[in-house]
Amino acid sequence: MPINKNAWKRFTIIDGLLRNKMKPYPTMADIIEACRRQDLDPAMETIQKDIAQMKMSRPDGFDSPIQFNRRHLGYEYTDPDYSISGIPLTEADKATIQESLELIRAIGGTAISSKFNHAMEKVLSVTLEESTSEFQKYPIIQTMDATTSRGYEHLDLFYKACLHQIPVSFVHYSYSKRDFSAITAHPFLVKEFENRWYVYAYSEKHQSVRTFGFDRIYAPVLVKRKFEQIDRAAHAMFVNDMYGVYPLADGPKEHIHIRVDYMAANYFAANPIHKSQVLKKGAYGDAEISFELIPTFELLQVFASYGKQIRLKSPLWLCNALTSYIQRKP
Amino acid sequence: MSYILHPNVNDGESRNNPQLLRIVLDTEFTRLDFGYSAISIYIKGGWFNIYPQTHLRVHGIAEPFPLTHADGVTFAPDRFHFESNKDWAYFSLYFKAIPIQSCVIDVIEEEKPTKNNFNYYGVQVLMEEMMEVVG
Repeated sequence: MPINKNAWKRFTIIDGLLRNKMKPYPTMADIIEACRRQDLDPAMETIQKDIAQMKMSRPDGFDSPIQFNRRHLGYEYTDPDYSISGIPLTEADKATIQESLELIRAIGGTAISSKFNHAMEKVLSVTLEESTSEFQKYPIIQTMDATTSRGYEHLDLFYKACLHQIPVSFVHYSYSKRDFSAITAHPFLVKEFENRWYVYAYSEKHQSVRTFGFDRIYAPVLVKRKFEQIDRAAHAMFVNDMYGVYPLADGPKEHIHIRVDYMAANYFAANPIHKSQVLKKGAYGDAEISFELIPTFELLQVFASYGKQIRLKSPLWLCNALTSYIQRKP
Repeated sequence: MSYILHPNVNDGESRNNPQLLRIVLDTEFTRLDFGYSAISIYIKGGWFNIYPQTHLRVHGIAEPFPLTHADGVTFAPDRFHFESNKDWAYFSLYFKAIPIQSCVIDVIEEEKPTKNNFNYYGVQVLMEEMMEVVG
C-alpha cells in the first residue's frame, strides 16, 4: 500500500512521541498538537487510522507494537526498543545519508540510482524532514550530462537478471557482421564504459562468454531456464585487465609500451587509464608508459585520439592494428 | 503465460532477410520477431512493408491465423524507407493466438508470392525448445 508524504510525516511524529522517554504515554491530544507544530492538522480519526496502519504487518504497515495504556491514559510501544525506522540514526548519520543522496543525484540519473533515491528517501522520511536543500535546485557538483543512449532502458532488466541469475532471451544485431541473431544469455555483469552500457553473459549460441552492447539488443525478456554458472573469479580478472569492453584478440593480458610527448604525458599522469599504468618521465617532460592489459578496441581508440603525441612501441601486432585503425577510410 | 522460441528456419523457399528470429506463444496472441538488414544493391537501402493480409497457417488447422497488429513495420501500401544501405530494422508481427503446443507453421504474406514477399514455410514450433517467459 503506498504511503503518502504527509502520512509518513505523521508516522514519524507518532514514532518520535512514543519513543520519547522524557514524556511517555502521549495522548491523542499530544499527538495532534505535535502534528500541528509540524504544520499538519490531522483529525482524530486520521491519527487513529495512522496508528492502525502502523500496527499492520509489513509491507502495509510497520508491525508497530502500539497499545493504549489504560492506567496512564496514553499510547506506548510494548517493546521499548522499537522504532519504525528500525535502526536509529544519529544526526551525523542522517546528514551523511543526505549528502550521499545529493551526490548520487549529481552523478546518477540511472534507473538504479533513481530507485536507490526513492528507497533512501523512504528511509529518511521516517527520520528526517523533507529535504529542502538548495543543492537540488542548483547542484554544486555537475557531471557530464550524457544523452540517453539506445538500449539504456534494458538496464533494470539485466541488473535483475544478473542479481537473481535469470537467463535472458533477446535479439542482437551485430554492427560488424550486419546480422541479427536470437540469443539466450546467462548474464553476470553489467558494465558501463564511457556512458555506453554492456552486459557480459554466457551465450548459448556462442558457447562462451560474450559482451553485448545494450544499443544492439532488442526486446530482452527473462526466461525460465537453468542458469549457466561461469567462473566469476576468472572473468572478474579478465574484465579488470581491460581498458574498455571489446578485446581485439582471444589472449591474455600483454605488456603494452607507448612513448608520449610532454602534453600527452601530463594527461596520462593526471588520469591514468588503468591501474597497471607505469609512467617514466623523460628530461623534456616526455614519457615512456607501459600497461599490462588485454588489448581492446577502446584502447586503440584512446591511442588514436592522441594523434602524433603518442607512439605505440609494442607489441608489434597492436602497432599494426593501430595503423590500420587510423588509416581506415570513413 | 508466454513461451518463447528461437526457431531454425532453413527451408530453401523461406526468406532469410528479414530473418525470423523469435516466436512468442501467448494465450492472447502469437508474436513473431524479425530482423531486416537493408540491401546493399539499393543506394539508400530500399524500402519494405508488410501486407495487412499476412497470416499464419498451422499445419493441420484449416483456418488461418490473421495478423492483428505490428510494431516497427509499415503496412502496405505505405512503405518504410531505409536511409542508407547499412541500416537495419527490428520488427514484430502479432497474430491471433495459435494453440500453445508443438506444431509446424507457415508465415504467409502472399499466397502466390514473388521473391519480394515475406513467406516462411515449415517453421517447427517445438514445445521442448520453448522457454517460459518470466513475469
